[in-house]
Amino acid sequence: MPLRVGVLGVAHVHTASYVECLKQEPEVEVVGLYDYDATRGAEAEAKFGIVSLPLDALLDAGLDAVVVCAENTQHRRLVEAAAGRVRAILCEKPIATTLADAQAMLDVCQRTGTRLQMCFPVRFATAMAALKDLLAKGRLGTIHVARATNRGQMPGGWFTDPELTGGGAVMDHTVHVVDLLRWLWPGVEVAEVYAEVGHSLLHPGLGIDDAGLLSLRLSNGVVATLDTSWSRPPSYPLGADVTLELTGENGWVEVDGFGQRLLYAPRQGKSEWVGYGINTDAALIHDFVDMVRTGREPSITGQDGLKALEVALAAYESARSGEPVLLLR
Amino acid sequence: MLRVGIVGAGGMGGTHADRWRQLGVNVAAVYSRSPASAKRLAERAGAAVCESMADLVAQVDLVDICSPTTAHRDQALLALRAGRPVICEKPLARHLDEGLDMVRAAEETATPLYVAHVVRFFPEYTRLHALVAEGAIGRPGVYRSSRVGGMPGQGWFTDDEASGGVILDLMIHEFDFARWCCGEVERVFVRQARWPGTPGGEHALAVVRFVGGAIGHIEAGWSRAAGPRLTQVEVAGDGGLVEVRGTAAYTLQGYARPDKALWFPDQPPDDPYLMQLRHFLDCLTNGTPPLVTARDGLAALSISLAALESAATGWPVTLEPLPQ
Repeated sequence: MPLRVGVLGVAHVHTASYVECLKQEPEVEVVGLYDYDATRGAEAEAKFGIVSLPLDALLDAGLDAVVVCAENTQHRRLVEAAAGRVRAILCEKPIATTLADAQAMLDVCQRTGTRLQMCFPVRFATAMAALKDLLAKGRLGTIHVARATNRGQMPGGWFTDPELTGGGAVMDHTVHVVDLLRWLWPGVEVAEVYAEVGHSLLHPGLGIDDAGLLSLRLSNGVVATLDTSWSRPPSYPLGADVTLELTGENGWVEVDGFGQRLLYAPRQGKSEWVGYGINTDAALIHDFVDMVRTGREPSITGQDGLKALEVALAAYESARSGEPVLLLR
Repeated sequence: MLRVGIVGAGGMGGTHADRWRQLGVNVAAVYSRSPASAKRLAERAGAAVCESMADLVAQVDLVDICSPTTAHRDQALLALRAGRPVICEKPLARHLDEGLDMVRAAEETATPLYVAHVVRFFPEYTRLHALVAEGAIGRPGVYRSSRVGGMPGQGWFTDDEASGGVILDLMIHEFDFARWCCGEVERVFVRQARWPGTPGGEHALAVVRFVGGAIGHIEAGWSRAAGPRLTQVEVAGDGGLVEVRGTAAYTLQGYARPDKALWFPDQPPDDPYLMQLRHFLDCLTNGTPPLVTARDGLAALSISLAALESAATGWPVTLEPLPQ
């Protein structure tokens, strides 16, 4: 029996990639998609060749799992609708835009026995796995410093509408790296957050934050920074980066998540770095499908999503108050 | 012929002595609190060893201070009050009142005081600044720079009282350059990690807000136990982005046995230390306005001191206006 999967919301830019990866998985059928915006639903139907259905009709179609790719503020409504009617939910990041929404999502999944997994594909980059291994083996000795970036081009569209996103660059780009740090050091949490957030700094009139620099203290004593800025102009050859440099007593290591790339220069227009190597979206989808099939616990939990969101929200709070925000005593 | 006196016979004293010779300037005198070091440098530079600062000031036209930071104030005051122009290594001083004394002495005696913020003279940094200044990236929005290497050799660098540690001695380069590109700093927040041992380490990550609204990430470390050093800078604005990754961009390089790697850097024309001293010489002899003023040195010092305070207290520090 193929696994029956539905797509709830197609707003997110990753939808196309996740749908493609689902189609590539053996014994997986993408049954249908739903979007509250009927026009967008129809466009997705034509583009992906997957039928667009009303929410209840889709959830009544005997699904095993759904992938939530709606706008951030829509996640709670869709997870609450699906919980108990499917066995598992894969949710795009950030999990939600408030801690209350995130907690409600965790609660409904707990109550209904629905497994909730977050979309943090960066964990699946081979370099990150190698880094985790290196840390576990203690090759660098005690780590003292982490410098990270998750910068990109301003995505435009609904990503700049606070009603749909809950925030701009900081909301968009904080959670990936915070999740990485928590994953690299199991049990470690972000203890304190200070942030400088810039509104319309790089895109005059944008009306939302487009630059963010977070300074973090982790519970293991590591001091860290994270640049979440939409600071790559449209002409820049790479859409987004994930970099992480760790410095320890015995050495240092630098990871460029999208470092495997070649330069493509077309006859006209801008040059682009084209990635090769592991497709982290495919690895994430494969991991999710395996979880649904085997019934094991998710590798990336809703709690992971909530803890990452907490740091993004603390960054906004710090920027408002001008003070560091303590998350852990 | 201009006679230069070099004060301090450590690494930077030697670096400057070699450049003065390349520029055809007579290094006439050397003074150091360590007579053995003074003798070594004097021999290398073909200069006389002086018994005291006063002795050196009497023998030269220009005083080049390359001594440990805590010695700068008294040495500079002696020279300036004798009417001798001064080139002073960064940081200008260890404390703000000392730096202010130096700047005021220069202003009162109308004697030039140049601060050796050499990063402004690294050709890739000079070019990046020129692009920012001509508006190529629009209004700066996000500034980032990094300068990370191993621990410095001499003992006084690791003595906080003497050097101010990595935040005052190394990060000041980055603060000066950031300020040159993005204007005055409004507030600064710093987290610092320090670990003793052999080799020990010291690393600081600063997040700053500029008065003009831009934000900045500034990193400095004496923390790489091995491997190459890191120097990196980028400025993103509302009209574009410019970035420099590393300084090892040679137009000619090669490898040969038996050395593992033999490189051919683009020196001397691009040598920043040479460019810097040539510029100060030009200022002195032709009245060219200096690229970096004594007040710039004071401003960079005050940002570094605020950064030290932030690292110590765990709170952001808003900069006070500098006294006249």
